[in-house]
Amino acid sequence: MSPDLSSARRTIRGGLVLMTLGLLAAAGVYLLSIYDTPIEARQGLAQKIFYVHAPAAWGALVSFSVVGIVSILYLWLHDERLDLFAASSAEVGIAFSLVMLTTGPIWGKTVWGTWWTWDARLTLTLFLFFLFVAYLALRAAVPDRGERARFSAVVGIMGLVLVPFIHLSVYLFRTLHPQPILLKPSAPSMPPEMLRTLLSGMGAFTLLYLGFVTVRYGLACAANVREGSSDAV
Amino acid sequence: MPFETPQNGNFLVAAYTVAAVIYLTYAWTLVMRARKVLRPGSGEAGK
Repeated sequence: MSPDLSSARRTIRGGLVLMTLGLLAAAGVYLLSIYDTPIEARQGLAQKIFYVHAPAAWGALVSFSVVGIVSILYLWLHDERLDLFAASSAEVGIAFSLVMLTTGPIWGKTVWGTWWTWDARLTLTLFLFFLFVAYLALRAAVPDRGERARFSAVVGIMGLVLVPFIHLSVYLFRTLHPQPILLKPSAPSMPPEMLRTLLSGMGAFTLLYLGFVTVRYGLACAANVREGSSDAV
Repeated sequence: MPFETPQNGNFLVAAYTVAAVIYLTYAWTLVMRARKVLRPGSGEAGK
């Protein structure tokens, strides 16, 4: 089933509202982090990079997980909208990954003394980023809609397989990267004021993800309608 | 032995600026693409 142009436009309008709210919420997290969150004594102000870095990592892993789950659904149901949504989530995931992969080294330089180290967490994260760049390149290279959707669904599912390894890599391998503070079986290991800012960041950037992906999905639907049967999303 | 909190606010400014530039640039590209689709009369010719 294919979406029509008027429903694509409605989706884009709704997405723009969500995106604006997400950007405002993200700005609020910046202010909360700078003005109303204590400075960590050993790491100094640079520790506050955490409140942008961790939500970006969350956004990236959510985006790529959604791509994988929706790709499985596409292979099962063959609904074109699922393929368009997966492609939209992949593009948004790349934006979040770029934030994660740039803010991480800036923080790493201050606490580890190096911009980058080839440990398991960082290397797997970089591989995931390249995998989804390849996913979008594949979509651009295959002209046939059906083939494009099938091939890219398989790549998207491979990305989903990588996500739990990235989360567990800090337990499975020796790594400089700190262990999870929030997403772990025991209680969060940080003071309440810092936890509040982190949770606000998670909420704000989840909202931003929803805004980005809704607009991008609406655009993909509109392109799909306008380009008829010979388009490339 | 007491330790001194490091003075590394410039790294915070750099990271927050990079993140804001990436998010805002992506948002701007989406808005520009959305404007073309939402413009009255766009798309009907291709239907």
